[in-house]
Amino acid sequence: MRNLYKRLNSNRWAPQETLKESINNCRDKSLQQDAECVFSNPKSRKLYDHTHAALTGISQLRNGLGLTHKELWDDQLNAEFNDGKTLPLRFHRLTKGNSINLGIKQVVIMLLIVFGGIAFIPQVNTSDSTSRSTPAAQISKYPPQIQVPIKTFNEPVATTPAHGGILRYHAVEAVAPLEIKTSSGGYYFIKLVNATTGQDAVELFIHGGRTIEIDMPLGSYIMKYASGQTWYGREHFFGPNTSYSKASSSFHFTKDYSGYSGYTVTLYKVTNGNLQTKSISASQF
Amino acid sequence: MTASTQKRSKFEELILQQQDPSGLAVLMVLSWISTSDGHIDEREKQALLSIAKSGGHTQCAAFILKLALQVNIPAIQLACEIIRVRFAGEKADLFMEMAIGIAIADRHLYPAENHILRLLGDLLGISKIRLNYLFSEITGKPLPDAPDVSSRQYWESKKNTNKGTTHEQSNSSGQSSENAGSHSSQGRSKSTARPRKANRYEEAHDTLGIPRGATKQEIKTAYRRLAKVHHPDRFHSLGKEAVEAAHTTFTRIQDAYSYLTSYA
Repeated sequence: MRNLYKRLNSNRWAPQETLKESINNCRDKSLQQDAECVFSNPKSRKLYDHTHAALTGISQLRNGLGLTHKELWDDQLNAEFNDGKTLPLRFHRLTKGNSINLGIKQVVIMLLIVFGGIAFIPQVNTSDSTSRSTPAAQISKYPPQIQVPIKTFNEPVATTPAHGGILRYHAVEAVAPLEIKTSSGGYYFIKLVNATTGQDAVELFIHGGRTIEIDMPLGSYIMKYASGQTWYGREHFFGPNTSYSKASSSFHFTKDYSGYSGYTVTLYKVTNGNLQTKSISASQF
Repeated sequence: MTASTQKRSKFEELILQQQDPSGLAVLMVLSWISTSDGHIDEREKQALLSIAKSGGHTQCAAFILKLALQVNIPAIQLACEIIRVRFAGEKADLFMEMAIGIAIADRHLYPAENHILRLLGDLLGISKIRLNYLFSEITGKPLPDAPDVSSRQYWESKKNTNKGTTHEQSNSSGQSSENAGSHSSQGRSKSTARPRKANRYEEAHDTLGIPRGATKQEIKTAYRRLAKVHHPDRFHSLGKEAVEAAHTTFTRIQDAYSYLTSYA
């Protein structure tokens, strides 16, 4: 099928009279006869137009989807209707999030003040399992010299999860951006808990010093995190040296006319930061 | 921060609000097929509405229909991307069968519908042989070449066959059963201008893809074959929308069959 409009230097929206003029000006007699036959009758013009629209669209779709050299497509049709227009693929980018819609105004930058430092102090070992619940801020006050051998904690070291490892427990689509930056050294296990239901929504693992961007479902969430040097698995986190913390304010992921709003959270000590964290016990985590 | 501020369209927002976006993607593509002949009759509209309703999308059905009528490429491409991801492999044939069912729902395969089916075939990695097989499973013949509607030969031959079939239809016989495979311009007037009741006999035959005057046995064989292909139970793995789409096709076949067995 030929692209009659292109060949006539006209277009689909041309009124009948203008189109007639283009047909009359056509020097290719055979094309002229065809065009006359197709366009003289509103019914046949309508069918041609819809086929034309579909083929124009299909050419563009095939460009975008990488289907221009497939069995069920036709070189001749491609030559007639493909005007080279292509749209980039969107689905992956939409769902994997990567801050497509992060206008500056939509991102609330949250900087974290960490009391007493998250203090990955490998030397400080504690004597019993209850001390795992000792707030990190207090642990860090012990001088590093106090070394008590671990007696009760004999769990095997687990394979450290990859950076960006994520577990999602929520049923709704994640749409709003959340970026978390961390300081180097150690690992972070981050938990986002739905503020309304109290249920875990997302768990993720970050290697210290690296940044992660994820998408969150809309709603309010509380952020808790455990950090440490050696990963003992999902049950013991970072062993007795885990420091557990909780961000004091909750995070609201919302949507307005201009897009989704999210947060950038920086998990290291920042002067004049606007987010405070407090240490919590393992049972509160 | 890698902030590329690309604004999301309303359709993209809708997609992101879904737990499973494939339902809306199916609705989008089926709406495009239904509207690609530039016109949507009451039955097609009802079918699309019930497909939308099955997945809880009643509210956005009209919006999606509008996108389809505009041939909104960004929306259709996004739907195609989702379909390619979600219906790859064994689900591809099922999706294709459902799409064919919707394409010939008005008993005509318009050139635009033909080209869309080919696009979907390539999208899902369905070979030409396979597509022909699937199409003939449903219509009794392989997918015809899309006619060249830009040529005068096409329209002149249409004029001639129109004269022929109009005459033959009054005898309730002849070869207008070709309609299921190729479009005839008279088909359009059939569904709008002419009273529906007088057409039921032809319609029922076209729906089952059998010639006028087929024997009871032929009717039965065609019905069984089609009922098997379009049985809604086959489509559960594709989601509610697909089941509902198959259901509308299935009902149409059943109606045609019961009409022919009780009156013909």
